[in-house]
Amino acid sequence: MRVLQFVIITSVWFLTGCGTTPFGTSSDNTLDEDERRLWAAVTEEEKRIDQSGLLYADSAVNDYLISVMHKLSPPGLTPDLLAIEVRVLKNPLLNAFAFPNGKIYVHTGMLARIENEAQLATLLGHELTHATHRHTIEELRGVRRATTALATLHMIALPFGVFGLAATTLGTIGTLGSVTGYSRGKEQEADEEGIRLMVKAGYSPQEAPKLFEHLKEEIGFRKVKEPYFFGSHPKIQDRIDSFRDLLKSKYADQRGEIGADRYDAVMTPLVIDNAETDLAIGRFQLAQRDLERILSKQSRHARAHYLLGEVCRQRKGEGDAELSEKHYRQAITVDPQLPAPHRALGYALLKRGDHQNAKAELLKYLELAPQASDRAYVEQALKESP
Amino acid sequence: MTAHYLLSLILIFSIGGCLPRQAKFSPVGAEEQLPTDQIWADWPSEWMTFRPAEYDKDANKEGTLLLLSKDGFSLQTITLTKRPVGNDFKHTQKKLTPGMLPQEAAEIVLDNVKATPQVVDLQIIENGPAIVAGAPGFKLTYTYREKSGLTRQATLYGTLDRDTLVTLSYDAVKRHYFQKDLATFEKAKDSLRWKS
Repeated sequence: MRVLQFVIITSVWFLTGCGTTPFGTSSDNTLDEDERRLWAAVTEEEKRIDQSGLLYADSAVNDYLISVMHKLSPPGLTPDLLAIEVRVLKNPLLNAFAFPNGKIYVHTGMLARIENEAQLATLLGHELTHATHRHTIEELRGVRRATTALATLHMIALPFGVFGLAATTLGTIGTLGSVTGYSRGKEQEADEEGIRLMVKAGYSPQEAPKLFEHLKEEIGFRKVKEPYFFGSHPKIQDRIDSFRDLLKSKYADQRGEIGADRYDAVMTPLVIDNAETDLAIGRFQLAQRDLERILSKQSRHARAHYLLGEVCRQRKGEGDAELSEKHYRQAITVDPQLPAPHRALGYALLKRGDHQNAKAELLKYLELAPQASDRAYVEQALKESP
Repeated sequence: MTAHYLLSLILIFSIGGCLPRQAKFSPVGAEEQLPTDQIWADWPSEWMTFRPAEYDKDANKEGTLLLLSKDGFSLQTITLTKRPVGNDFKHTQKKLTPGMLPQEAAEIVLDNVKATPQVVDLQIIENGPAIVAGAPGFKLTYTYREKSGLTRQATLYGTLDRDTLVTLSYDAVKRHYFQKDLATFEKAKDSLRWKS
């Protein structure tokens, strides 16, 4: 029995003792055999994601994320050591994860919740640290985590409800990094190093805990279990506490850039696209909140008004019919050439018996969108209207 | 001896009757082809049918009664579904309600397609009225890309029969396969009938 204990302890010590110097701190970052195998597996997962069509293709968003990442990257981190890239996945779940080879994936749902560039830097700095500090390989080497890794593999097969196949998209490694999260020590290291990087890049550390506070609110708000950035409520509370401690001890008087306007200018179309997905899923509250946030800053946004009108129409609450009509009219005022609000307003007017104006709106819709897929319905409505 | 034999037979039949239905492949027109909850159609000959097992949770949730294919389910599939309107959809939280207009039902069915993570680059070609089994219904035609990168096209007919949604859809690889069997599908759709 003692021999067995000795063998286990020696193996654990040997496995966890393998050198994993963070990338960028030494010119020699030769990969160990197991890490090489991990990177090969990751490359396969990456190819699968790239071919999936689930990448959010907006060059403005991608360029912006890369520019923020460049500000955060440690000076010694050259592409030959670790090529950092940030990609966006079209997925309304709150998630972000880093592959060990430096590819960082952020969901549109996560970017929609972030309010400014400093909060984005918090997230990217955290994920960057997981990659530079080689957390995935360390985690996989840890015998202690073996059961969690097995649980992770099992989780991939579990249904998560809405957008439930997200875990399948991420693959095993992505799931380990995002759904279950890393061990407490590694998360704390990523928090500390991430905040150090963002402060060094000139961002306000005061924004760091705010990101996680928003995400914590979100858990309650969504009312559904889903693959989540930090897996669970206690984990996110750990993050918040850890950030608060850091702010008190190291960054109490530190101020810096927030970059809210810059963030909004780039991310508004993404937030609206994400709200449209939430609307299709039937998460009216989430869609409404994001659209109202956009409209509070850019009141003249036709698509946001139209979609908010759709939220009101589809949830069918008290006073929603009037509200939806108001938003359709605002959308038309801002952009009279946008077809969908004319159709929506036309149907709304038909419902309340204003046939003459309804017809005018529906005809306008057909004029603006002659190839509309629902042309037959509109023509039917026009024909049946007195 | 005869009494024992009879008793054994009765026992086998009674146990067999208690077992849940297993998933089953069979050719169209085969005697063993299982009935589909009082919904019939002239299914195309030379196609294979697949009836999901009674305990298949996914099939039950979607109300899948029958799948048909000629060259393989990944190439072309005709799917017949029947589900109570109150049942949850797999990808959207929206619900159908009895008495909904076909257009309103179509909107929710389409939202379920939009919210499907595997459906990428969805393009709606047609969303319009249709007659399904003699009743007012809807027709949706759309293309999308699978995660593998393959483009597919689908046509879905649906109708609300009191508190039940019945759909018949055809989904195939867009290149070559969709057009090849579209007429066959439409013919099957035109022959669809049921006891309500």
